[in-house]
Amino acid sequence: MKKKEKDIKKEVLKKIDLGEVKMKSKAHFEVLKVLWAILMTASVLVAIFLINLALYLPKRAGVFQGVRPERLNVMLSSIPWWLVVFGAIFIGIAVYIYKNYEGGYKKHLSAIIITIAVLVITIGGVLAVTNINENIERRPGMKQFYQWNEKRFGPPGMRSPMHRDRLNQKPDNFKRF
Amino acid sequence: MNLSKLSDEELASYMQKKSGEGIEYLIDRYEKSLLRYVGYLIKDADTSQDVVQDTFLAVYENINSFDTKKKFSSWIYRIAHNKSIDEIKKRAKTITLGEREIVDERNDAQRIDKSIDMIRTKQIVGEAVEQLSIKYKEAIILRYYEEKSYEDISDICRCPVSTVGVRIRRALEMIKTKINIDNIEEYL
Repeated sequence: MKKKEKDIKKEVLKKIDLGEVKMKSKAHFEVLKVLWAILMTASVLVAIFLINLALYLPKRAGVFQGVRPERLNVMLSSIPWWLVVFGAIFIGIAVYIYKNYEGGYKKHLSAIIITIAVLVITIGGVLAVTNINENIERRPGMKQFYQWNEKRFGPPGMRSPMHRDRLNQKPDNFKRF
Repeated sequence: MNLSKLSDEELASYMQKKSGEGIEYLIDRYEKSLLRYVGYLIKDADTSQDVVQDTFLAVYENINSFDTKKKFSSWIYRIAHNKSIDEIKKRAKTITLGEREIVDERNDAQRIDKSIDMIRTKQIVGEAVEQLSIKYKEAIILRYYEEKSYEDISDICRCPVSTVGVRIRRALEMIKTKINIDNIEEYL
């Protein structure tokens, strides 16, 4: 059965007068805005650091020295993919926040993902080839952090001398001319 | 100060400064259109009233988050959209858009003396709109029933303007396929 048409204006004003609904302050929204911005920036920075680490660890193990197509498999297997996966998760968090809370809804999701991913991979790659990781490693406690990552996610060469040998092995069809 | 002469955005700004004073003017301006919009989505007159009431309460609660440089109507429709989607998720039973259309169109027909075929076609189109999934239905409702611009629909549905265009085009194609009428937009 259809209810009687209700006086929406009267009901709304009554609830406001009785204090059942409270107006949230401007500061409340400003703080939320800042928190979302901080969370998004932090996610991007963490993603950059993880991608940088994923490229730096194999580089430090010497995997990227003398890049040759026949060593591509070894090089790919030396990339710590778990770090890349974690990096992708943080990229996902940043994309979600941008799309839903930072006014990014006007842009296509694919464009946002590609832009943030390219940005993260480029900056992470540039950081990996600079000596920034060496500088970070020199800070107190950071050496252990790098060693922990190396042990856990680093190229197998860092864990087994056999892999290191495989890296330095000449390909079967290698001929000296 | 004569609040009735202020624009929606000026009124919202006034509310922000005066702790919510002036909300009754916004209710007067938007109650009818929101009831119509929410009614199309929810298809239950009683629940629509509750949703619209919740929308105005949310406006009061969150008025300080409104950016007065932006369009107020898109903001309030966005709140109504969110409340309606929440309600649709909760509900299973619905009444049809067709019923509402028949009533509206009967009145229209008497007033403007249009042919019964036109009304029947409109009814069929209304039923076809009703069968669309929510994202297509909403795009059609906002564009043709609420006469919103693509930009406004983009703000209300939180999607790119191009996506709004794609949704409307696809929705029209789906309706055409279902009822085999060419100039579908005339009946919306």
